[in-house]
Amino acid sequence: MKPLLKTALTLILFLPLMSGVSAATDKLPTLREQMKVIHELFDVNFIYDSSLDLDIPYKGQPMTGESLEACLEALFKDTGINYEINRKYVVLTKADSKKKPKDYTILIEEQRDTLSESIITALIAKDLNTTQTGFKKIDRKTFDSGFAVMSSPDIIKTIQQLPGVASGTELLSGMYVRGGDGSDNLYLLDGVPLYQVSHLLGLFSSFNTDVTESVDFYKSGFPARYGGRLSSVVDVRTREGDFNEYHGLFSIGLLDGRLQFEGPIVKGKTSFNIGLRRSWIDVLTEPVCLFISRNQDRDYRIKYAFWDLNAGITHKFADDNRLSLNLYGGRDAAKFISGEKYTEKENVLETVQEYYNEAGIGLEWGNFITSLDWDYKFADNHELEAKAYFSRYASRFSFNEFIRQDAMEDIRNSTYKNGVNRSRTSDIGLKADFSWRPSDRHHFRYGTSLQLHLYSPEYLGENTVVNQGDTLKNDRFSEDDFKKSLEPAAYIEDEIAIGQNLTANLGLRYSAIITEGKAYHSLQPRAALRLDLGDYTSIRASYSEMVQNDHQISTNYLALPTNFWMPSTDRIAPSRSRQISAGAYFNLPHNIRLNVEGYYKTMSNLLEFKGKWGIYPPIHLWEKAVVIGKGRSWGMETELSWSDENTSLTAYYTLSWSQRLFEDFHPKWYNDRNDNRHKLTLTGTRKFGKRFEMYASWNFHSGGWITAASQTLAPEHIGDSPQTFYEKPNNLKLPAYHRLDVGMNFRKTTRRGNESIWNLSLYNAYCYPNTFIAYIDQSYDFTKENIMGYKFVGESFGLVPLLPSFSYTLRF
Amino acid sequence: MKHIFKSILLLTLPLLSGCRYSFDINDSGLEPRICVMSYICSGEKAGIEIYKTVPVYATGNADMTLVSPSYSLRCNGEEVDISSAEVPNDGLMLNSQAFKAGDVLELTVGAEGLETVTARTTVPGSFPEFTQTYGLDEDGNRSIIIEHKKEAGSYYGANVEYRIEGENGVVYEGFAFPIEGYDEISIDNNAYSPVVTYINDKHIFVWDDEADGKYEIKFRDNTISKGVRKYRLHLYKLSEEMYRKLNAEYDADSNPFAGLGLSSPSFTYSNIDNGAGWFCAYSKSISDWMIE
Repeated sequence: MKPLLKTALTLILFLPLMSGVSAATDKLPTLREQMKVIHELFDVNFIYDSSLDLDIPYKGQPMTGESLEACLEALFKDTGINYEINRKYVVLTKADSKKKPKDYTILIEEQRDTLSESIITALIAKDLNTTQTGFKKIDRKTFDSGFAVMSSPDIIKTIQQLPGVASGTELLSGMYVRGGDGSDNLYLLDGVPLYQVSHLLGLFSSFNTDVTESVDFYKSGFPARYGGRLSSVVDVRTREGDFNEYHGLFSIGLLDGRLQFEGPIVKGKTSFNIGLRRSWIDVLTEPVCLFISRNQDRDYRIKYAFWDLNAGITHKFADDNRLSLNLYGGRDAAKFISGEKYTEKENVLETVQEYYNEAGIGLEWGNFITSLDWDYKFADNHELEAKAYFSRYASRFSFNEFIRQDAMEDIRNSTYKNGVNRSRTSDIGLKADFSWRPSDRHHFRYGTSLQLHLYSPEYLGENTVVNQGDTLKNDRFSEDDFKKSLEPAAYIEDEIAIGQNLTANLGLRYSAIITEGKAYHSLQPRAALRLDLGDYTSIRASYSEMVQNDHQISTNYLALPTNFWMPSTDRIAPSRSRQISAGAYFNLPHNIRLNVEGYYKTMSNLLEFKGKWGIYPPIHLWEKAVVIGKGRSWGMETELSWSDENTSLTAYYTLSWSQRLFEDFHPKWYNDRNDNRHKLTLTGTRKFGKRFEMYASWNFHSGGWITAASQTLAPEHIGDSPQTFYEKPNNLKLPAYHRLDVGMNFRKTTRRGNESIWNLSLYNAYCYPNTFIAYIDQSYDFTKENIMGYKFVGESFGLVPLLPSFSYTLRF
Repeated sequence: MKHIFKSILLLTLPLLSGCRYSFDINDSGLEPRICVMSYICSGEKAGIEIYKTVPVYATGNADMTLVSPSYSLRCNGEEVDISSAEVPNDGLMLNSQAFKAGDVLELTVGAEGLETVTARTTVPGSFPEFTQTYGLDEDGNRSIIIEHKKEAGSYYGANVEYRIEGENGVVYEGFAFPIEGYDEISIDNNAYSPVVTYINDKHIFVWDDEADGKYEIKFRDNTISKGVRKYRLHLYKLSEEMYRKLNAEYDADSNPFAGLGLSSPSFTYSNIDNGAGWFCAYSKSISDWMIE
């Protein structure tokens, strides 16, 4: 019966294809399409290296064989592709290569939820086979089993561990890639730029890993399709909802709760995926404040919360034609309110006056993104991804004050004053990205985009209402500042297979910025080469130029939400980086991988603030309040990893130099503040059966640098302060940074077949107080041994010595 | 419920704690240096102070003596005669002739065991022709608008001297303060780098050619004495080195993030190669008295 059924199915499924072939001979089915047929017939999944070209036409005879082997033989005959059947999986490799995709067993496990939809499983570990240098693909597996500070896995904290990435100030989501300044990373959420990526000043990043499919991280060898920032690209892709089944997860942790749910709206056609996070610190702080303030005339209320929401709907008109609507919203809100009640008696008249004062300050910031995506396949080898989007980052600082005076019985005076300082940056954009494979040797990507940037860096408003008995007085004041710029871009790149062992990715990107009365145009060449030396070794090299047309303006290095973005102007030109990178990549026996990569990078037109203002940069003076300089960095990065079914060990080491030249500050090159000479990250995970796994990660890097007066003269008279001098910027080395994170997951399958996970983690397990701020403390020291009369000591202030966290997650 | 509250408290306590500790600052590669301090005024005999400084961690019996010092000063490429005298703190004062506008000065100082330092500055010309307009608002705040010819690559400074001639013949003299006081300075949006700092303990407003030849000094007269009030300007033209040095000095004092490693190092300027301090020049002139 079974062979009969298979034959019937074969005929039913192949007939449309066969008729298509006969009706339109120019549209032959591709290998990929034939693989789908085989998947339907034999319920097998394909595992293959992403460099394999499966979009070439299938020119063989229609497959009529009854066995899987016969179908595969017919399909891959004369294609240069070998196949191997491994139970329910078919592993594809290049005919001239003995190398198999190594991570496929892990991949299959990870993809188990979506196999029915995805039909063909691609090898996620794309970075093994990419032409680009400095590329890392991070998939869901990393977030599911990895390091989770405060119970939520975090994309930025994961990237901070990679070689070549300095994390800057402890705990903040700083990312200083190969000598970058932190404002030069391109964060893309489903292709839409995101300006602010941190919650709670960096404890959490804005990306919810529950809905994240993968993260492509580039620090060199940038493909031409990316542009707009100097130092890195973090391309976060969210997952489409399941088209056939409903499932999701619920998680509650120490500081936040998460909910994710996905499923079909119209089965097989339309799906949704929604992820929601909210912190619940305010649930704790508000009652505590109320409890402390009970029966007192003075009360305080502290409130902080963040939330974010990812939502997406995807509709498939056909397999090659789909439309998606994505939405992201995230917000942080902090409020501090202080109230005081007091009574005054005037003895002469024996009258009683009661006063009540209330003052509050609030700080809010967040992003809102929405995009409409259309994916369409013109032909088997030609695809379009079109996108229209809106992205906004806004921050708001507000204050209010209320004073009420109850003097006599009938007289009540009150004053209410409030003010706001709001900053916004918005993008409205259109993008079209094409992918075209004219032959098995070329893969062209080309496209264009147009972005309208709207900058409203400062809106100031004040409102005062005075109520004096019957008289009401209302004063208002508001001021706004608004700028805009237009940023068109176009690119073309070609992934070329030159012979069997040489691959090149050559590209060119054009971008421009048109602002008030000024236009800057730039051409950015990109080139990457990969030479395979046998099956286990490759060497790669790349050159890339990147241009950043807008600039982040901040008065300090704290990455506060009060920072704002401004376009290039006639005084401030776009920033530019040039980077050359090369490395050797080894896939050694026993699942050992070793990558060694070096780089040299220059950056021009970098900005530094002069540092005379407070937290808010001066909006009217911003161009004059910054100075322009250069940066350069070079170094060597090493990745060594080993894994088996249950254990994974990784070591990342970076030896690097990063320098700055701002002649307004110092006439010579000086260390960048994040010039960490050595960086070492050791991570290990171990599964103990199916229910328990542990992980540990040790991070070390040489101390950063701060600027301090480093030279002194003895005071002229005892008791006088000694005169101190600065030699150069960033001259004082901070203590080395190191911390150990450990964690464990307990997994269990519930009676209903759902998976529950208890996660326990310790951030900074041995409680080392890494530097948050540091300074030189100067104090009297009138000992005989000290003729100076003073002593100078470095003081380091560390925050949060130990962060325990837990979470309970239920996948359903 | 009680246990849950206790558990949460125990877990959140570490979040609210911080930790301060001291660390060694002697592994930053710091060495003793030659320090130069000199503001050279055009038309006046030059004085250049030279010291040996030590890294801040080298307290105790640090030897501050300049051993076998050597020095040379060149003006427009020609060696200049200098004499030296000892000053407190084991330093030296080098004295030389007066210099004029446009002179390029190059200083080299060495000493045994210390890296030789070099520095260079150009003596600026005199303050350009200008007009001054005095103003007094309802709140008693005073201002002087200076309009002068704009000169590319030039740097300027000014401070306000007051003189009150009382009815009883008593005369009060001094220098006026910026309008908001030294700590809270009102920023003039029309001027680039509207720095208010001081030379010889007198507040000075400095600006550069990006102010488009117009700068408004806002100041207050703290004296309550009655009488005829007069104001005049002390006007400076600054070398670039001096302008940057004054900017840096102001930044160091006024930037709340400066000492914590949380802001740009805008306060570190020194034009002494391989050393510390400053070697810069200026010219000065005085305006006519304005009577209120």
